[in-house]
Amino acid sequence: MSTHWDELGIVIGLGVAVAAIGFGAARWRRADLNHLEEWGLAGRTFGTLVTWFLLGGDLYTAYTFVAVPGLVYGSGAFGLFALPYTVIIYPLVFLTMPRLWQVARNRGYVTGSDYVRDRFDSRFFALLIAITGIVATMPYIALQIYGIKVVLANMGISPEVALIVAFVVLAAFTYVSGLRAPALIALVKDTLIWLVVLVAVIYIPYKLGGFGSIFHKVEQAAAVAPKAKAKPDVLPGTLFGGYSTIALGSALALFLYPHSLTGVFSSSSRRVIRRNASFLPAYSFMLGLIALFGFMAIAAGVKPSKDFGNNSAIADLFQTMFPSWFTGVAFAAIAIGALVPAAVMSIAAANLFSRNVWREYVQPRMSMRTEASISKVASLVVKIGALIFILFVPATDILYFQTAGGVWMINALPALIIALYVKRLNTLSMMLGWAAGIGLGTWALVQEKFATSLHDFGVGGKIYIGFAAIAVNLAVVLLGSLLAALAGRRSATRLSDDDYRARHPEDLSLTGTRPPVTQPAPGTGG
Amino acid sequence: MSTPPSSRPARGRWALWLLILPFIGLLVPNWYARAEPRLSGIPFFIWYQFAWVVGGVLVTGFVYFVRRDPEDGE
Repeated sequence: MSTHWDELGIVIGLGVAVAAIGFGAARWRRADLNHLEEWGLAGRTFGTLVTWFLLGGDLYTAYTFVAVPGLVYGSGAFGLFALPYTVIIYPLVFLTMPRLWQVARNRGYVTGSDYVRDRFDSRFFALLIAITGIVATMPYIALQIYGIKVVLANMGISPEVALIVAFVVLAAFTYVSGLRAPALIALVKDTLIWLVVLVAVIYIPYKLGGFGSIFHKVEQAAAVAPKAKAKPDVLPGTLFGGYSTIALGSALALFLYPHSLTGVFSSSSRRVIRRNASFLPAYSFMLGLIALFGFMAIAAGVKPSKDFGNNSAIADLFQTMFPSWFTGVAFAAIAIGALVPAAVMSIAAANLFSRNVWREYVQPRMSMRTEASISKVASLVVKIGALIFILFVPATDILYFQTAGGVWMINALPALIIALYVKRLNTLSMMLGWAAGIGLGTWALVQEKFATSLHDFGVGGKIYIGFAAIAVNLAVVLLGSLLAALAGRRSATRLSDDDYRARHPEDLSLTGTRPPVTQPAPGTGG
Repeated sequence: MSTPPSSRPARGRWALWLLILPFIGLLVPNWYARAEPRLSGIPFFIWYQFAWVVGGVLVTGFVYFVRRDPEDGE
């Protein structure tokens, strides 16, 4: 394939602009970036609009934009589970996240594991949850780079050098600006993505003769294909169980991820979170439209690529349909789209490391400034690790890690969500439930050779492995806690009811402006 | 601390039950996995789920307005 210089020029131009914004972000809402709550959470000051852009850019990742249409292109209707998944997630967010936000704000938590540590008075359980988060996040970061790689390869340039350049820049501005950088870049990224998707969803069906004609072609192709290879546009009965369990399981897992919690904790009030539970579905609608590109790729006769299989469906579709300058804008949107979640994820993983590993086990008495430095360095290490991962591990293996990541992450549900509401949870049972869920999930993944996240457990056909894992986890937690309660044993906690209530005067007032959250770090003079 | 939080209780807690609607509407594909009726050529299975994105917004939006919790802040 020859190099597409015009596409490349647009991507480079927009890339430079984004890097400038990333470094400039350090001056936005200026504060002491040597404090972890400022570097890692932007001082918990983000209002409704910035939170909308940040969480939208953070959760609906570049990889999602490549993988969802790829899945629809490769297997048809099943890939649309992204829709129910990203609809039912918001009632859950509306209910649970404000409560978690409040306790985090009251007690100065930066990570979910900070909460677990106090809730169960156990730094070991907090470590387990932190490790779950870090392990689930690493391949997710790698997949963002994979999204860039698909796009770069489609432009006909060797991806390795470009990837390294993009990542050095990303690592540098994250180090300097912290969470402020992805928040500002998200504004650019999302504007581009919205532009591209809205143009494409009108223009491509127009060129393919309308949606009627697209689905007619998809159905014709499905009718003549052998059953195992058919890509139906309506879900077949054999996949009902798998469809609803993967939608529910993915919804339960998404807001447990460290990068989701970072986005939630950085918002300025419970009201901001509740409003966003109503505004963020705009992105779900967009994701649904992007999923339809998979059907359009089938109708347009796009062939799977040698290097990336079904995942290059959307890139190939755009290249066939659009003039090259617009393809350049679209590819830039995907590439920039990868930088936002990669930055937030590396910050979130780094915060877990500095707070719940380093502070707890290595240097308990470090200053605020040291803590922020450890996080900054850890964010670099995480990104270098992800880059090495993507350059040396075959892409298919990384996809498997991601599948496994979701199955593992869901096991943090009892510790991060159930614990908000149920007081008499037994800490030992929590850890056993976690181990049982991870164990069962990993066992089932091995049975499926990590190639799919569905497994037949002998109940209701093929279901989502993460769903079975959390069911077992919850059963152990509830049974164990019940037994402990009957035996009259109470687990320790450092939290009281009051810790879940709004207690800062500015959290209660409806008009007052809020003073900065952070205290001057010792030795920095503020 | 200024106002004790307990002095202004949350209103409209009943509305939270509405949040269950999207789950009922979407988690049983048996109800909607069919091609007809189509909407300008798009199978029911697909446009029904898109409609629920709007439905979900209406539900959370309604609950947001009905339920007032003074602790939610600005």
